[in-house]
Amino acid sequence: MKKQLIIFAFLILGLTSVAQTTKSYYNSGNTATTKKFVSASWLPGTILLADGSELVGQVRGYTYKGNDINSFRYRVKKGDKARTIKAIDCQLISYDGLIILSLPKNLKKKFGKRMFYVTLYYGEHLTIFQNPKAEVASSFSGSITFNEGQMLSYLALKDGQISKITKLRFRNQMKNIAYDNQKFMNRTTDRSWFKYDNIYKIAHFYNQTKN
Amino acid sequence: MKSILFLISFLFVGQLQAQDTTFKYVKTNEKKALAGLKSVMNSSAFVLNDLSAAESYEKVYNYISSKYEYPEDVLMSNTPGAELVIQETIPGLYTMKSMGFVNSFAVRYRMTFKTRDGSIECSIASMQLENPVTMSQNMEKEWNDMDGLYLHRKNGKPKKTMSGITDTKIENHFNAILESLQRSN
Repeated sequence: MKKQLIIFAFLILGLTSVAQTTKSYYNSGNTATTKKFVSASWLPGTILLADGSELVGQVRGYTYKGNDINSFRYRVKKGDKARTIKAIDCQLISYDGLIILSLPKNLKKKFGKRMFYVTLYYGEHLTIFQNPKAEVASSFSGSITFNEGQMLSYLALKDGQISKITKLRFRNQMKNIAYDNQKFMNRTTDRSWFKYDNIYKIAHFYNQTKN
Repeated sequence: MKSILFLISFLFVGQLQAQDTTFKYVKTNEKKALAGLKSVMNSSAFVLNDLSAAESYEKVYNYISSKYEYPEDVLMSNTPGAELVIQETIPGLYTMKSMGFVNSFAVRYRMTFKTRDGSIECSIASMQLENPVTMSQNMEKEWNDMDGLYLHRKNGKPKKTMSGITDTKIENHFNAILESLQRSN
């Protein structure tokens, strides 16, 4: 009888268990090149800590420096005690349709102080993120600007190296970054697709076609 | 021993019966002020076949490739032989008829195809509705989360503008995907 019970327990376990897979952090699909801000409302979010473990619960922006985020607050659920998460404590935060990366404050140095950067596109091979020092297109009295609010430069993270991508020299800069992907380079001849306004989809295509 | 075997087979049959093979909106009791009663669609449906997980994966990939010149544009992630995740934007998928006028808006969603031996599980997540009213200054669309449809008034009566129109169009779209995957068996 004992043997039968053990077999039964294993069978139940087999029927109900689901394979555990590593979590993927998907981009929200927001292709807008306008500046994205981190809100201060409690919303569902995930924090990938520096040691690789995950915190899943509610997250909100906590302290800011101008419009840029300095730290987050995390709690499991409403009513629980919240803790402060700084850039040095984590690798990544997925919150409110945004993916926020923790990278060195001085991008030329790998070590030292860290800060948060909001990504436009988070990818396995190439990540495009907001340049805190970027100029933003704005109209002035009596003029019409079709790209009002657009960030005029982004930063690209590839193979641990960070490069600046500007609207003015986008095509050359992007080709220099993505020269190692032949399928991508072939598509760059399509000028209606290969343009700065399409940077999200361009980064996505690079990541998907890079082996 | 017999009783244990009976229990196991009962659990197994119960699990199989819980698998939907089509997408369908179902009215819930959840009410929202002004909007009415909420209807939700099952988040996943199964395509049953006699293929291996790898063959099913190939079939899904071929289906996506046949729809797009560059399938990589819609592919979010892929685990060969096991899973494909796509994000599609379908213009005019959300349709309402009011006073003889038809209003259509785009819907964006993420669809996951989990391929297993004998089945493909198709799950829909992060469905969002285009919001042209709040189009930003630089003419970029804004998207609102769409976790259900309000097809009925608070008193339970169906809304003429949406019931049988909006839900049917969305259901047909997703069921057509299931049929395409089933047909090419």
